[in-house]
Amino acid sequence: MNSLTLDNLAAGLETFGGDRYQALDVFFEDLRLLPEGDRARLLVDGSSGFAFSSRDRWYRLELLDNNRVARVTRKASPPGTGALAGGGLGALAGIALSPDGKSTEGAAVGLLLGMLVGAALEQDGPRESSAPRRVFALRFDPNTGTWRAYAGGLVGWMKAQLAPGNAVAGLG
Amino acid sequence: MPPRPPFPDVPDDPAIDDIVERYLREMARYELAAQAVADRLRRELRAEARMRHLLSFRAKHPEDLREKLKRKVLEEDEEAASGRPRRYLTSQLYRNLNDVVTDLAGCRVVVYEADDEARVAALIDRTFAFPDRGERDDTKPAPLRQRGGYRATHRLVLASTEELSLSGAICEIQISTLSAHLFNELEHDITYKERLRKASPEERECLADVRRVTKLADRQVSHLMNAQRRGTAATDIIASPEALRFSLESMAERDLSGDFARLYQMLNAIIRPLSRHALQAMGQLRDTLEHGSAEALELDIGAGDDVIHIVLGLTQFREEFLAQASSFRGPRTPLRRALDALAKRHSVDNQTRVAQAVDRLTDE
Repeated sequence: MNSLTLDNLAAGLETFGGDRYQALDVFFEDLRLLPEGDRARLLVDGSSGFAFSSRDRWYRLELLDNNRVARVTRKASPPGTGALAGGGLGALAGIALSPDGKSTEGAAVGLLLGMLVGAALEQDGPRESSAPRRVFALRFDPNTGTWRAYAGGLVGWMKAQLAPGNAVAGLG
Repeated sequence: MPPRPPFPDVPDDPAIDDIVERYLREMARYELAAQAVADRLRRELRAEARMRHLLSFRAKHPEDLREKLKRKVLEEDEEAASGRPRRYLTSQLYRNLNDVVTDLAGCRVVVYEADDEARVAALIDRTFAFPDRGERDDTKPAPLRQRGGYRATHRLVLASTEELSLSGAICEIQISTLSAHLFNELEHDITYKERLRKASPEERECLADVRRVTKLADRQVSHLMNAQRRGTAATDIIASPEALRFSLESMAERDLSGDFARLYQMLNAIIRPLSRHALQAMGQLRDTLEHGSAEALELDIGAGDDVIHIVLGLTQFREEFLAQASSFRGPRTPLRRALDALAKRHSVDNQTRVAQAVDRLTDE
């Protein structure tokens, strides 16, 4: 079974360097326990998320869309409480990501798909969630542990999963 | 191999039988030649993402060759009085049959819209190499609009410049609309049969009606396709390579060339939603094309390929395009080669920047 680590999630968001993309949405279904080391790195961050550090940067991890999308964004600073999430994961019981079984193609070939979400194309345009914005479809290659560009048949489905309700506050 | 004597210079039936017999032994080569041309055409037409079409190919049936040789000899007999030189001579047919009978390998592209006949011809002119026909200059004739009603565009191309076994093989490509093809086939049958018996007045009248109806069908299909494109444009969302091409051509106010299937795949994976609004938000297309064309010139690639110019001109997506190109599968198309050249230069630029940074650190 393919799985992602917290460092893999952070690396996905940093695919292109800079701050061109503010979020990485990864599509998954099953929740499994993370490796021991990763579980211990998760800190509680607010009421609905977790924080972790990777390569000296802080990131926030949220579960959206009925726990079917894992969103990773950057954090300027460590979480306020600093409390470990390990004991407080509760029903989440940690996170390991596997293909979203709802997409039959994904389930059949074990694809791990993610989409970088970036700024609106029009700098001065409306801030509606439907305004055209940069995205970038990715596929995680478990053999090399790296993210690669994806332009296959599931791109349309991935874009449709970026529901307006999940718009990231502060995205330009 | 010279003809077996004593065949006359104007081929008679025994000479024609012998020529057909020799062709039978080489027929597989022309089948491969036609298939090679068809395969390449199919890829290019799909990438253009514009033209609905039907594509077929064949090696000429030996009996059709026999019929053609006999017919041409008779035609040249009738024209001999006017002093017109014969082409269908026994010596020429034995020296190089394909040079005289240019449709031993044949492809047919049937398009839905009349305007696409010229577009397919232009695509063929950009894609294929052409045989050296000397003074005959018959590889790219003007569209045929014959008095009898035959309507089509023809091209004579070299089947392959790489495959040794197909070296020198000529393939004839016929392009016509679906309606014109229907008329052309019926007209050919009746004209051919005229040599055995005259067509009846009823047959002639029906054929004239078919000719009128097929011309009307061509006009109406064009109207319908334009209405369909206007309807698609009104929805703003671009959901296919065809819709992308239509939107970009509307913005550029001219026809555009290149691999729109791949461009759609690339843009669809980096813009949400991909729409006419999004295309407009990316900047003036004219500027993008100009910038991309200048860069293509510097890289010495992609001349005349608008898709390559668009990709090179959209510098705000350069890293994304290069990342996508590294995952491309399939043949190394001109677009892929352009992105490889760009990646190579990008890498050299990065190495130079790193070296300069190291130098600065060393100086400090």
